[in-house]
Amino acid sequence: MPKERLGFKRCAETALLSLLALAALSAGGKQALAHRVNIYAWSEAGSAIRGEAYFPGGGKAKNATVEVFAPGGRKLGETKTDDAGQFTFQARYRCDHKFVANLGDGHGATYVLKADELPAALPALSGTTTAAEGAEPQPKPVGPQRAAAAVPEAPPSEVQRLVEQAVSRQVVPLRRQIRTYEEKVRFRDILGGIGYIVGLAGIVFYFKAAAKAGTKRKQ
Amino acid sequence: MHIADGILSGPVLLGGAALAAGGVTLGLRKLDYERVPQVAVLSSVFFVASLIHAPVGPASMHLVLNGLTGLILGWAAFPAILVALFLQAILFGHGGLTVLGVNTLNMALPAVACYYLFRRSARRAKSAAGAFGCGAAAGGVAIALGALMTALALLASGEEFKGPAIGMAGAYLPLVFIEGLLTGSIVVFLRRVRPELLDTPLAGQMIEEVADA
Repeated sequence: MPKERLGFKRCAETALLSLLALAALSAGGKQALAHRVNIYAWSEAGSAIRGEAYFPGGGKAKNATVEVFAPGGRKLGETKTDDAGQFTFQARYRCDHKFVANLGDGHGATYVLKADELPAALPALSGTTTAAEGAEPQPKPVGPQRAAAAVPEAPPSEVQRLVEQAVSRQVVPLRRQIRTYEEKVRFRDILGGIGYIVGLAGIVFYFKAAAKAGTKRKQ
Repeated sequence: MHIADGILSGPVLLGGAALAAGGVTLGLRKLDYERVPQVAVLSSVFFVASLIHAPVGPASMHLVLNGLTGLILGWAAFPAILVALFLQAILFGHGGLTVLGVNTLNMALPAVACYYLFRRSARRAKSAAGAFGCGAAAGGVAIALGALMTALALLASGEEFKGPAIGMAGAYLPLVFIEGLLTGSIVVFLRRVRPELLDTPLAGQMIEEVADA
């Protein structure tokens, strides 16, 4: 079999057709999602923080270790996800909580829960400047029959707790929806990636061809 | 097989990046400009492959296709995979940027190994079945070696990874078969439609390979 030169035209034809086929295939995949683990958390009634670690394509991260850090790297504690990928953590300070999930097989993710999502009743973390600034407004009386709680530092009233619970019940699924929407791999991302590769190939082409022309001239 | 940011230790990241840089340089140097379209196509295939999920038991695994990339490109698999991984990290959030060198090494080195192991027999296969076998072997071995290297990278970063790393490596066994089948089929298809993809070696390959063609 003689060694044939590839034939630049045929090569480029193949390339173009393959790229088109690829782009078409990718467009058909509505469920295109990247394979990685995501973690997020939200504050529940009281000082509890609940969270979830999951794979965007479906599937939960079970029995994964989740470490919790304060700003500045101080470790606040550790928790584990259950069989549904959910975890809880008791917040003791009102500071940013950084949740780091490490599944041990190369998958990992972080999520930062902001301090102002936590109840104002919590003390500030000593030695940081993220203490609750000033006073949180007094718990407002809801409903004409209820009296407001006495002082801001007192544990939240029953009404406030119920309100927080109800709001949380509405907002958490909404956040999940937003997150799922954000995680979807868009067709334009795929197209952009392929376009980038084609552009890069063009640049490499130019340099290689210029080098080849240079050596030819010298001969 | 994609490791995320913030998991591996510093020395492992640096070592992996250095080795990957060496591989990429070698790949670019051996690249004949006529082969550049092929490199671009295979890089794109690799890029999109991680979006294609194959259901495996309770979970699902995504395709890698580093065996196919290595079989066709040889050392040029390094730059092809580097670019694809970079884009996956930036556009899909899959993998990571600090860990780009290690991931490239973990996936491209097995690809090059499969090139040296299976390319000649794939080229000289006398029947479609023979070509399928070579392609399947390349696809499967590339995944197995890739999983092994990923596990090694995790283990080198800390003793605590031992259990999960071994578990992860074992979980890739079904993918070995799936990718083997897929790569075998693709090689058979290429052999029929564009045989020169498997015939012509990259410029700068061993002279012996060209002479016995």
